[in-house]
Amino acid sequence: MAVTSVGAAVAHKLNQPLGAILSNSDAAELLLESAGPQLDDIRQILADIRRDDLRASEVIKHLRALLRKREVELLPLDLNEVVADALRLVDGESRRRGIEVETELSAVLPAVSGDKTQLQQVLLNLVLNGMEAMAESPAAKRRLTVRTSGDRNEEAEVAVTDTGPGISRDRLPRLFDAFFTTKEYGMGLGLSIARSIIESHGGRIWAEKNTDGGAAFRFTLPNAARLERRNSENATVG
Amino acid sequence: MTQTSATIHVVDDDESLRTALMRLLRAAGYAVRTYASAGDFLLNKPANAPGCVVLDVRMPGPSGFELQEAIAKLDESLPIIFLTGHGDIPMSVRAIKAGAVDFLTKPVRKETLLQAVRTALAGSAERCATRELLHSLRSRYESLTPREREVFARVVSGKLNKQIAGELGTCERTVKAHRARVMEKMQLTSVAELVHAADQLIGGGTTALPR
Repeated sequence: MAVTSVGAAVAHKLNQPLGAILSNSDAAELLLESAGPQLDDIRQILADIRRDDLRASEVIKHLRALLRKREVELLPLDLNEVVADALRLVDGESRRRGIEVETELSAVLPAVSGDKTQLQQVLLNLVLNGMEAMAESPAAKRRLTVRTSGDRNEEAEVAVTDTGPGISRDRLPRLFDAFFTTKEYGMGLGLSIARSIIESHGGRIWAEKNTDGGAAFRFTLPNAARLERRNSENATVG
Repeated sequence: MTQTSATIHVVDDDESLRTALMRLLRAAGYAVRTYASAGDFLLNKPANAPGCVVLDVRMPGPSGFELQEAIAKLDESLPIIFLTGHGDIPMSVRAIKAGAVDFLTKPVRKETLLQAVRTALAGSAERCATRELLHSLRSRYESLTPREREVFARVVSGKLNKQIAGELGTCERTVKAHRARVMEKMQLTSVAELVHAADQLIGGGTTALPR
């Protein structure tokens, strides 16, 4: 079933734990009314109620993170350095998963500005998604590539490609929607948060099929001078 | 409140919710089995037992609606109660049109759920009884010889013994004997009952009675 709106998705995500809490409370009540209720059962029910309550609040927390208006502080940064920093953080993860990580970093990137931590969050998200996508791939074929490219006067582009099964065509348009997930235990928020970060940087993010199978996620960041101009124009209009 | 022979099958991918529903329904006195997916249910459900299904709509793999279709095709006496995290009117219309007992949303009130379960189980018991009756009628009918079946068909279409004897090229006394055997084997006492049984056999999908 297609998630047609964030509202429906949030309702679904919240109603699962709320439904469990209500039915658990009702069950506990019935058990207490019965002859010789087992306290261990009641204790277990209470523990589950607590867990589901936290699960519901987690949904709300994620949602707030998604809907928060992002105040980004745009500072000049070295995109290659952001990539290298992010990859250093997942070094252990890639070794554990037996994944070969390659970088192709351009030496002539346009000057871009952005929020280092937020961009790192986007990169980590794409990289970890890529790694997860290769969990079922043959060990010799697990390769993740991060590539930076760009024209000095135009935008910079970062591409994260994997050798996993790729993304089916019908899923491509909805990948970045909130609460859309292909993972069994995913919240479906990683990519929607990534998109909101990239868009607040004046860039674009999208996914496509890699030419040799697998998936490719790309995002762009505008040239710093252009972004400056755009922002000041917006300020005059606004 | 206890229905010992009936089982409630809870199909929901959310483990926590599945467990909570199981606890509630067990505390209310029912036998409960849980399944994490439509496939899990189809592979592991007991065959031809009375009960009902409490079914989530949105699950990884086949949806609740798809499972509803599959159950309908299996000719099981298992009424379905949908329980969804987010439902809208088109969804509930679709579910009810396809024969669901109810379309409830989570979180569901105990009274609402238990009421739906009672309705569903009553429906299941009725369907089971009808099916058993038909099954027994069918096996009794199958115990008739070809000639007895010919007599059966002519009796229920209102023919007199004399006419039947003429059509079958035999004498009236033989027809009478066959007729008595038919009543005995079908365990019926009147022509009216025989006509009713014939209706049920034809309605129940048995091949048309031989003319």
